[in-house]
Amino acid sequence: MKNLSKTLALVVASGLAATVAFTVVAQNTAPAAPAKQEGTKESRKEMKKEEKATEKASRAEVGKPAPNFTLKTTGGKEWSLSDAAGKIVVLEWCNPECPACQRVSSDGTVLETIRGATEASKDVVYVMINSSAASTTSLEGTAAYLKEHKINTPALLDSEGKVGMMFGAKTTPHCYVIDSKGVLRYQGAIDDGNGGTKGKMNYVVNAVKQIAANETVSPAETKAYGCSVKYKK
Amino acid sequence: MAYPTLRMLLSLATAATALTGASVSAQVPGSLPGGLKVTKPDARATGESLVKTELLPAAGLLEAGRPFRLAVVFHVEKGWHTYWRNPGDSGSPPTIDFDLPAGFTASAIEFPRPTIMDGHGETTIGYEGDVAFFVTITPPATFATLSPVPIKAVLSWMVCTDRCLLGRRTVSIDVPVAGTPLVVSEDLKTFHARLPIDAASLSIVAALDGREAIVVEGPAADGTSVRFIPDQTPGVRYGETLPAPVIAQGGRFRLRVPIEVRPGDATGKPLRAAGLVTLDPASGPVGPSTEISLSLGGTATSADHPTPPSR
Repeated sequence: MKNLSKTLALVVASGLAATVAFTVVAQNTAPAAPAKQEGTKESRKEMKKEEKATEKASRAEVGKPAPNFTLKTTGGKEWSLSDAAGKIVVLEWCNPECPACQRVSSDGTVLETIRGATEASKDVVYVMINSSAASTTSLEGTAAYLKEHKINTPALLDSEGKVGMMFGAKTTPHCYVIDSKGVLRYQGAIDDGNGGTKGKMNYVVNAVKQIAANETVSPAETKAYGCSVKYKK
Repeated sequence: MAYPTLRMLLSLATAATALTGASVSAQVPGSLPGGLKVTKPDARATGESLVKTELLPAAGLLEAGRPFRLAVVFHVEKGWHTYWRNPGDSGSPPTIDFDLPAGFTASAIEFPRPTIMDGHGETTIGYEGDVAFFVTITPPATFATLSPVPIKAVLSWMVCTDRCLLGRRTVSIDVPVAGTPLVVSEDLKTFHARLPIDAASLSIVAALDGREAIVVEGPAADGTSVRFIPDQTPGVRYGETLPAPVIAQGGRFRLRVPIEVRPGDATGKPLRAAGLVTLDPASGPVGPSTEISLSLGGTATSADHPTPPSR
């Protein structure tokens, strides 16, 4: 019964998301691979191949609609990308235990990014996501960490790491900018610095400015730096 | 006039490293805000405690107008690693910011051949354990003094195992002017041997196949594994983090690495395809490596890394 409710909720959520032009390929709604007999090496190989193909098909890609997802905030509320339809969305993968994240939080880079983005467009939603499920202390510490750095944004806990993998988030920090039509327009580093040194050019603010001005985003992809995302093993 | 010996220089450099000490730039998880609990035995480690550093003369003789090499040595705690200039899927390369006397210039960091590290579904490129990075210093054409030349550098690095820490430290050295050749120590020779060598000395030729691919060709013993490790070149992508290697056959190899050129991502920098080509014999010690750098203006150029002084 519980599962049925979940399924129904997902179907409704999928329908809603589709109406706001987001591609609905949430981790929970990806079509299941046809059942195969388990046991043989070949069937296992085949299943893995199909899983990989499904994963690849639902992977976020610059220039294409961003896959919708729903996660819980640190406060326990559900947050879906489709909730922010019509707005520019900035996703920043963070991990309180990563020194590169600590650097961008403590040297003002994140706050400057939020300020710069909101100055460029009134309708910007900045969201932190923590997919570092290999460390429970990281997940548990997210809210306190953001409070400590006076970063007042929704923070989502991706405890299974599925959303992180769906976006291909490799590092913390790793940023994504999605335009008001739900299309992923930028992915990569927050700035042109490195793990220990603040950059001179803020790629996220640059992308938001260009989206707001209806321009081509350039650069649309950069190499993200920082710690690896500590996905669930 | 007596000049300090190399041993004295090494001691001075080590002492300077120790004296200038660490300015901690990274918080340890144990001291994170929010009352995070860390139970790992090395939770009190810092980026500085995990990496001891030295600034040493590496090769050459300090004379007016004649380039010489310095080495920055990282002695890294077992089980931890640092990064090459392209760290791969995650990480951050070390930086060296020199404070040099007027008229002196420093090259970009010369990175020794890195190791490929695979794990947890990601590929990173760097160094497990100790490593030395080299920098070529070019003095001005004339000197006004015969006093030792003070050279200072701020080092920063990311060091990782299943977690990462940042380190930063200032190191300094007084290099004597002329008189005493700056001989490479035995320890440094090992690292020095891992520096890339000139492509021509390996008879390796690299060219662009339009804007579609890099093609590297040359002689190599059968069974040699030849790999291209890409640089971070804005506006040029190489598909995978690490393109697949090829195996030499018939005494030769031909490596074709597809590229994708995206001028809009170049962030104003010149478009180029670049990286390190490594050759590993089927058995025995690691083979040589060479730098490849090709301008995407359509003309192939030689490696744009600094020409090293004689070893």
